[in-house]
Amino acid sequence: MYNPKNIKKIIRRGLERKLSAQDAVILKSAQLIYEENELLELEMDVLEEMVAERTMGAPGQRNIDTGTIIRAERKQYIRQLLIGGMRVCAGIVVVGLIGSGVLALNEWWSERTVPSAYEKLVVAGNRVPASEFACTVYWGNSATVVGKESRGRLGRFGDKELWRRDNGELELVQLPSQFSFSAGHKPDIRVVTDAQQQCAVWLPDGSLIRLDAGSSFSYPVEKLGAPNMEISLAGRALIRVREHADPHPRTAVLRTPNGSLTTQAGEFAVLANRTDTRVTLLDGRVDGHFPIDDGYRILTNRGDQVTYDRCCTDADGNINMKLSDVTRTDPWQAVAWTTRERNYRNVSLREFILEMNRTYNLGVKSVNCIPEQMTITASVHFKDPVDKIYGYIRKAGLAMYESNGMISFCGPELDPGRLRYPDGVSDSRDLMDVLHGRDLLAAVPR
Amino acid sequence: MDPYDTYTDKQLFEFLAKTRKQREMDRLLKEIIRRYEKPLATKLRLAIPYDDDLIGLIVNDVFIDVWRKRRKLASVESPRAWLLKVLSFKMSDAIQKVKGREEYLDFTTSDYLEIPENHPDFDEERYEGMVQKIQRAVANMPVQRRVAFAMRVFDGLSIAGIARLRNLNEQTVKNHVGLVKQQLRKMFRKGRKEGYK
Repeated sequence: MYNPKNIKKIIRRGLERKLSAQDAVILKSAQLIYEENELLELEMDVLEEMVAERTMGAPGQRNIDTGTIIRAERKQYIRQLLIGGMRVCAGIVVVGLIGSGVLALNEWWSERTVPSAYEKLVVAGNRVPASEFACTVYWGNSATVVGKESRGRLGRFGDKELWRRDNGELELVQLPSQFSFSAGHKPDIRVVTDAQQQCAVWLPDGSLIRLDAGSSFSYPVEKLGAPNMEISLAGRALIRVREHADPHPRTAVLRTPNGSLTTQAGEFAVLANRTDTRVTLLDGRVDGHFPIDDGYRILTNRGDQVTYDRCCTDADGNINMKLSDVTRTDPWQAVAWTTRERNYRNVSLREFILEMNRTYNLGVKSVNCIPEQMTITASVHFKDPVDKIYGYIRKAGLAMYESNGMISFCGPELDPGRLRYPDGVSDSRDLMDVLHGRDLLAAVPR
Repeated sequence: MDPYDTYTDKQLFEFLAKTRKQREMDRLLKEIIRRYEKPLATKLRLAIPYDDDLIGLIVNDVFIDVWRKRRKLASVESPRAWLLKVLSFKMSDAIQKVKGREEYLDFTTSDYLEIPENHPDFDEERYEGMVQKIQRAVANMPVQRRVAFAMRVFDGLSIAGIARLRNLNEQTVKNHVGLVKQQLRKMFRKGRKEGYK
């Protein structure tokens, strides 16, 4: 049953499509006791026998030429090489595209999803919503008012376009070089916030500037390829400068009325008034340069703060300048102005009024008349009307006097020439001493 | 007379793998073509009798494969079986390409030589009986051989797998299985003569 002769017969019947059910069973069981190669050898024997018998006749005798085979193989080989090469190239291109896509996506994603130090500090629900942002953008003689309802492209300033993102943040987009000016004056872009306005602007290099009310910053229109990015700031802002993968990263230089701050990657809050500058670091590193001897400070840790104060002029007419050492503070205090609700508990009334003056543009002449020991407890929502602030101030026991749109805490303004002096008082100076018990003229406006 | 006439198939393959002389390689390939072109074409002609062009292409493809893989031919144990396997692959490739055509579909479903159990009247019970007969015959053999054979044939394990499991040399396992098969063939041949069923 399993001898090769018999198996060959079965194979032959199989080749001739005449395999019976019994043959199939024998063949199947023969596979258990014959190796596959042995059965194939037997099949080849059968085929050779058939050729010898010429059972298939000799139709289509082709007599394959070795040269044809070799040439065909070479052609196939070259074709395979070419196809393989093209596939590799295509693969490299695809991998490159995917890679760059992934990198871009990752960058985009991390920019939006990896929380910055500020975002970790102040959760989204506590922030003044970006949809409420408003400001005015000046460029040369043009002024673009950005309101809550502004959307999409808002204007073009030289080689930059101003867009408002869907979330309410502004974005300065760098246009291709053909849009740049060839010559002439290139005014800076100036972003200004009014009372009760806040604004966030993304710069073309990915840096973010968030302005508080009553603040402004200037950004140069056309400095493509410049080694540094120079911004001028007045007021209060939160600044985030992104780190660049560039081997020679650009340095962002922030100029304030008193000194300058430089960083390559950092997030910090700046309060830049006419007479003082305060910097609080949230992340990264910031170097401060102030116009004073030994006026260089490096902020590297979260909460590091440095204050420069050009406070007053002494009797000899010298301006007193003070630069604090780097101290560690609660960074929350530096960004509290970005929150919806600001809570003040027993804070200095002077500080409170200065803060409200910036937010509501109260027109405060000076806070020097306010007793230093006076404190206030208040809660201010970013949408609260100014009357509420006045209410808090009055409740704190402070009298306000308004004249010509300005607020004074030093009592009613008196015209010494029209006064009838009481007995014993010969001049206005003595009169004011009598009225207030202090020398108002010594007050130096901040 | 060509000296390669006297070479065995194995020698032809080994020599083709070894030689670097173009002339010799050409002649060796020529000899292989001479020996196998007709049997291979015969097999194809039985399978697809209506397409001479396709037959020619497939046979050409087989020899192109021989030429392409010439450096590795020395490791081929049975050149004739190898050629039939290559033919089988080339045939399925070619048929895949013309799959939509009904006559090829008919061919692929009526070829029971490779997979006999696909036969519409395949008798499963009879087959089981024959398997039992083989198992009974194996039962009287030495344990090592019996185990190696059972693992190889009934459990479908590879030689390397069995060697690893049994902690034996691969060649030893091969020998065990080969010996059992040899013995079985002898036994069944004898059995037939002696009326063994």
